[in-house]
Amino acid sequence: MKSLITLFKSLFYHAGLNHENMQGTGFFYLLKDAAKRNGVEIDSAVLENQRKYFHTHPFLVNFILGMWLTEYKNGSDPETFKKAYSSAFGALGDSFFWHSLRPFSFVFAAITGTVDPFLGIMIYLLTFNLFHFTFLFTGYSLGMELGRDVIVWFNRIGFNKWPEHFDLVSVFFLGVFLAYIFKTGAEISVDVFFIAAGYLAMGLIMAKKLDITLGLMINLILSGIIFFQLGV
Amino acid sequence: MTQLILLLAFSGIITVDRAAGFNTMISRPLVVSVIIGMIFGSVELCFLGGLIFEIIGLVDVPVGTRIARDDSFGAYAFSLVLSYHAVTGMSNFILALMLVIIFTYPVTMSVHICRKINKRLYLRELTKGDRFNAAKLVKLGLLFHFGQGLVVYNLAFVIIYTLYQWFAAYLPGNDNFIPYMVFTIIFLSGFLLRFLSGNSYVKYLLFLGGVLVGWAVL
Repeated sequence: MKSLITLFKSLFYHAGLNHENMQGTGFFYLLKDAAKRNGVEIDSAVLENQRKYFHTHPFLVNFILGMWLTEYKNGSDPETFKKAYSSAFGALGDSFFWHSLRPFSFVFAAITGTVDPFLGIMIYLLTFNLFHFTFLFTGYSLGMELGRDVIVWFNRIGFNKWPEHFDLVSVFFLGVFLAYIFKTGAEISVDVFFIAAGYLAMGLIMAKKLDITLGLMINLILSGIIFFQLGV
Repeated sequence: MTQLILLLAFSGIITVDRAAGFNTMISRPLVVSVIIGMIFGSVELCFLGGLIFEIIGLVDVPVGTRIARDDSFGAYAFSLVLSYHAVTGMSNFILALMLVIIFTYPVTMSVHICRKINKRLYLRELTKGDRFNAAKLVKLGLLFHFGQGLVVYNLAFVIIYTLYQWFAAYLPGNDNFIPYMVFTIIFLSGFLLRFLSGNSYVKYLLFLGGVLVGWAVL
């Protein structure tokens, strides 16, 4: 039950994000509440210190929260681990959740969505949130249980390797999706096939040097001039 | 009227989910587009539009404190233009897409304003000493982000739509633009393919394998 309440409250942890203390307000908000529910009395000066700078990935904050409370109860210095883990979890979280899990959820949603768009977005939301909520829910109890050793759990599950594995799966299904959307969305002929292959190659080449929106704008301007000349 | 109320509420929910709370991905372009398509009855077309902005957003990772381009707004505005049946040909499609992309930049700037407001509120709350109220700051953060979506998204859409109608009058129209939408998605997938990590040989072989499976099986 405690984990459920923490999970719910941690959904708003980054609402006060600003460039002064980053997510320090959110961490203070979560810590004060979790300490109260666990009957932990935190020294007012120590608690006041928690309003200061803090920044980590929002889906992994509960690991640090649980770890902090355990280390504080044990009389050790939770601040050192909080600082070290906040940047480590920030990098791990960005790499997995933002870089890899989103494309992973996307490819399955895109394939399903081509048949039924509503089912597609359901797949997207279910795939992403399965990981999102599992990490938020288990994070607090694991942090409480393992304390400063919480990072060991990430090493045990090989979390730093997940992005690459997920990306390879995404690459395969991106191929499946493109073949499928091409078959269903365009009238297939040899010319059209080469145009599609050319577009993909152009994207791959431009991606090496250009930002995606700049690349798209160049594509749109060139295509626009051609279409306008052709009167379409 | 019901459509308008749903749309206004949804625009606020998008920005909250994106920057202040939940993070349930209801703000992802694909989801935004399909929901708008469901409100206005043009799901399939909006889904294709959503794919474009989804891929744009996927390669733009919000690492650390960086504010990523507002791909949710892109999907929101573009789906609305598509839902109003305003796009009738390839030139129109290109015009609408370009206008929406241009406007994602000022809309993204509005997130900076929200963060500045949060900073001011935080500094003001700090002066209260022991009466520092974090819950109040969290609630205000949610409220301001909801307001950001409600006001900025819809205002930007109105400007885009006005400009679109003005320019579109000079363009030819009435042809099937769906194949070009598919080609745009294929073009953007080139960026996504390069963005995904992994050994290059393995990656491109897997991609080719996927293409063959997709072609043969589906």
